[in-house]
Amino acid sequence: MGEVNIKSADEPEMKNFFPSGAITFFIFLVILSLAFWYGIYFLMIERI
Amino acid sequence: MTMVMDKVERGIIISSLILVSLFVFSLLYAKNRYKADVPECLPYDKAYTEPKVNKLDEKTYQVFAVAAMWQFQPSEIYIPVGSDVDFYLTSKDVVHGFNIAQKNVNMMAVYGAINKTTVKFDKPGVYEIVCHEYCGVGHQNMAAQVIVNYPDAK
Amino acid sequence: MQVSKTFKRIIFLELAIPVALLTIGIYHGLMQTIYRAGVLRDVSFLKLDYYQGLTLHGVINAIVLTTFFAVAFGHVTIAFYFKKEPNKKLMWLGFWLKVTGTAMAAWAMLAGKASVLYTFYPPLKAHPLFYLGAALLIVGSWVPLFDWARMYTSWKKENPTTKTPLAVLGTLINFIIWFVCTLAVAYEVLVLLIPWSMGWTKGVNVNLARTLFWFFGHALVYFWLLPAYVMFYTVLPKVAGGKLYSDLAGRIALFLFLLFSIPVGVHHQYSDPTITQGVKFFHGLLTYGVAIPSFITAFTLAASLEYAGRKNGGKGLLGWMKRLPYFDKTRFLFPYFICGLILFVFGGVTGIINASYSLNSVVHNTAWMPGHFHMTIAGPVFLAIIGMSLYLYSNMSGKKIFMLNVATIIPYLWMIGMLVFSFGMSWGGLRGEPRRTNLGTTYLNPESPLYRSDWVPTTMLALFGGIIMFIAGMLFLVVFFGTILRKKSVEGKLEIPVSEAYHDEKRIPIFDRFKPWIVTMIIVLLLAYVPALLNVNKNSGPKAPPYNIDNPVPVVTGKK
Repeated sequence: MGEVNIKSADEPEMKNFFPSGAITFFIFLVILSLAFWYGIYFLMIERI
Repeated sequence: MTMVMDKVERGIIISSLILVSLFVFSLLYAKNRYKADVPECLPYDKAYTEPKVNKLDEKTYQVFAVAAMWQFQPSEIYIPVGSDVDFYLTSKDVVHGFNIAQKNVNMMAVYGAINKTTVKFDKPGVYEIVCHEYCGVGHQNMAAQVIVNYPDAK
Repeated sequence: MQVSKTFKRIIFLELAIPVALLTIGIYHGLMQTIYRAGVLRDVSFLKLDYYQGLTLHGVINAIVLTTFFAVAFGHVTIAFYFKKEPNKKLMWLGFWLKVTGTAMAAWAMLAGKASVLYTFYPPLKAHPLFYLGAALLIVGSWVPLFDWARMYTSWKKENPTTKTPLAVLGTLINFIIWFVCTLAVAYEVLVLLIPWSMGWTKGVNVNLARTLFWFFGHALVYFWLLPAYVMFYTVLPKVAGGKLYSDLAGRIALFLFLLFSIPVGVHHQYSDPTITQGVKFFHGLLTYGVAIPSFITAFTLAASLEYAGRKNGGKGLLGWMKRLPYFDKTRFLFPYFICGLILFVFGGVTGIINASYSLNSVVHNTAWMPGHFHMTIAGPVFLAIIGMSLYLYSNMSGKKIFMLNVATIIPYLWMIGMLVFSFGMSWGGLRGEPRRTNLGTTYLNPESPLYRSDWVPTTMLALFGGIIMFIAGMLFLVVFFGTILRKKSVEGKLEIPVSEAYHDEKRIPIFDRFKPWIVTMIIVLLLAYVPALLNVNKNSGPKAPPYNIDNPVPVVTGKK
C-alpha cells in the first residue's frame, strides 16, 4: 500500500487553488440526492 | 460579510437552498395533485375507541381500527374494489404502528389520541397491516389484513 | 502539550469505559441481524431476549458511547486550544454522575427490567432506575459546559480580537445545543415518567411524552455528529496533508446547527396523532434548514481534500482523489475519517428523504430507518469516535498502537460491512419490512402464517453486512485493549493535529459571538414548539397507565 509523500512547506502552485474537483463532487452529490429523492417520491405516488 | 465569504462557498449555499426549494415545491405539488400528505389530525373522541367497519355507501367505508397488545381489531377487513376508506386509528394500551406498505398508510396508534388517513383501494388483493412499533413481547405476531375483492365475488 | 496525571486518568476512563461496553453493544448488533434473518427463530438466546438486546444495543452505542466521548473530546479540545486544563473537581463530578447513571441503567437493562428500547416510549414501563440512570447520565454531561464557558470567558478577555478557534466554537455550540434539548427529556423523565413508573401518578399523556422526547431526540443526533464535524474541519485537512478550504464556512455551518438542530423534532412524529399537518410541515421546512450546513460541510471538506490531493501531485478534475493517505499507518486517522464521510453521503441523502414530510410515509418505522441511521451515527460518528479514542489514548499514555496495520484497515472493513447492511435494510424497508421487530419467530419463519419470503434476501444482506461489521468491531477492541496492555514507550502528551485554513477569513464579530444566535435559537424554538405543544394539549384524550412488556393488563398500582 503506497506511502504518501507529504511536502511540508507550502508549494507556490497552491496559491491560486480553485476547487473544481470539489464542485464536480458536489454536482455528483446533488444528482445522487435528486435520484434517491425522486425515486422515493414516485414510489409514494404509485402507492397512493 | 458577503465580501469576505469565498464566492464558491456562497454558490454552494445558494445551490443547496435551490435544491431544497425544489423538494418543497414537489411536496406541495404532490399534496395538491395526489393528496399526498401526512395523517390528519383529529381531537380525541372515545367514539373511535370501539373497533368497527362502517359502510357509508357502495364505495365509501370507515374503519375504526383499534390496536392493542398484540392484535388489530378488526383483523380482517373486507372492502370492495374501488372503495375509498377512511381509517381512524387508536390504541387501547401502548404505542403501536399501523403500516399498509403497499398503500402508503403509515400511522402510529397512541392511547388517548385519534389518527386518520384515507385510502382508495383500486386494485384487488390482500393488503397486509403490520405493527412496526415495538409494543412488548408479542410485537412480531401483530398483523392484520385488508381483503379487497370484487363485490360480486365470494 | 503536557498534561497532569489526573487529566490523563479521567480522559482514559471517559474513553475506555464506553469502548469496553462496546463488547456488549456490538454483540447485540450482530445478534439482531441473526434473529431478523430467521437464522435464529426464538425469543431469546443465551438468556438475553431480543428486545432486551435491542435496548442494550441502542443505549450503549447511541447514548453512553456518544455522551462519554463528546465530553472527553470536549475536555481535550478545550485544554489543548486554551493550554489550560479544566477544573479537576468538576471533571470528576461529571464523570461520576455519568458512571453512576450508566451503572443504574445497565443493571435495569441486564436484569430484563428495562426492555423499552433507547426511546423508552410510554406507556411501556421500565424500572425506575432505568429512567433515573438516564437522568444522571445527562446531568453529568451538563457539568463540563459550565466549566468550559468559564474558561472561554477568561480566554476571550485575554484575546478580544482573536477568532475563537473553530474546534472550540464547535465544542461550545454542541454542548449549548445539548443542554437546551436535554431540558425537555429531563422534564419527561423526572416529572412525567419516574413518578408514574413508581406508581405515584396514575397516568401519563403519551403524546406529550413523545413530543418532549423528540424535542430532545433530533438534536441528540447533532450532539453525536458535531464532535465528528469538529474533527472533519480541524483535524482531517491536516492529516490529509492539506488545508481547510474555508474557516468561515465552518463557522457558518456551526451557527446554523445552533439555530436549527432542535426546532425540527416533529419530523420524527409525522405519523403521530394530535399534531396538525401545518406544524408538521413547518418542522419539515426547518429540517431542510438544518440540511444546509451539511451541504456546506460536504463541499468544504471535498475542497479541503482536493487541496491536499493536488498539493500531493494530483492532476485533472478528479485525480486528486487518488493522492490521499488512505493506507498510510502514520496517519491512520485518515481512513477513520474518509470511510465515515463516504458512508455519510448515503446517510445524509436518506436523511433528507426521511425529513420530506409526505415521503416519510414510505419509510417510517420500516427497516429503511435503521438503514439510514447506521450510515450516520454508525458511520462517520462511530468511526470518528473510535479512531480518535485510539489516537488520544495512544498519545496521552505514551503507548504505541497495537497492530497498527490492522487499525488502519478496520475502517474499510467496517465501511464495506455497513454498505451491505444498509443496502439490505433500506431495500427491505421499501418492501415493508418493519424495524424493531424480532422477525425470526414469525415473518422470517417459513412455518409461520406470517412468513414473508420477499424479506429473505434483504435480511440476508443485513446479516452478511452485520457479520463483517462485527469482525471489524472485534478487531478494533483487540487493537484498543492491546494498546492499553502495552508498556509505555515515550512520555505521554496531549496532541491533536490542527489544520490551517486556505481561506482564513478575518474575524467577523457576528460569527464569533453566541448571544445573538442563542436569542434567535430560542425564538425559533418557541415558534416551532409552542404550536406543537398546544396541539398536543388540545387533541389529547385520557392519560395512560403503565404496562409491562409482557402483559396487556396495565400495572395495577395500589394506594400509596
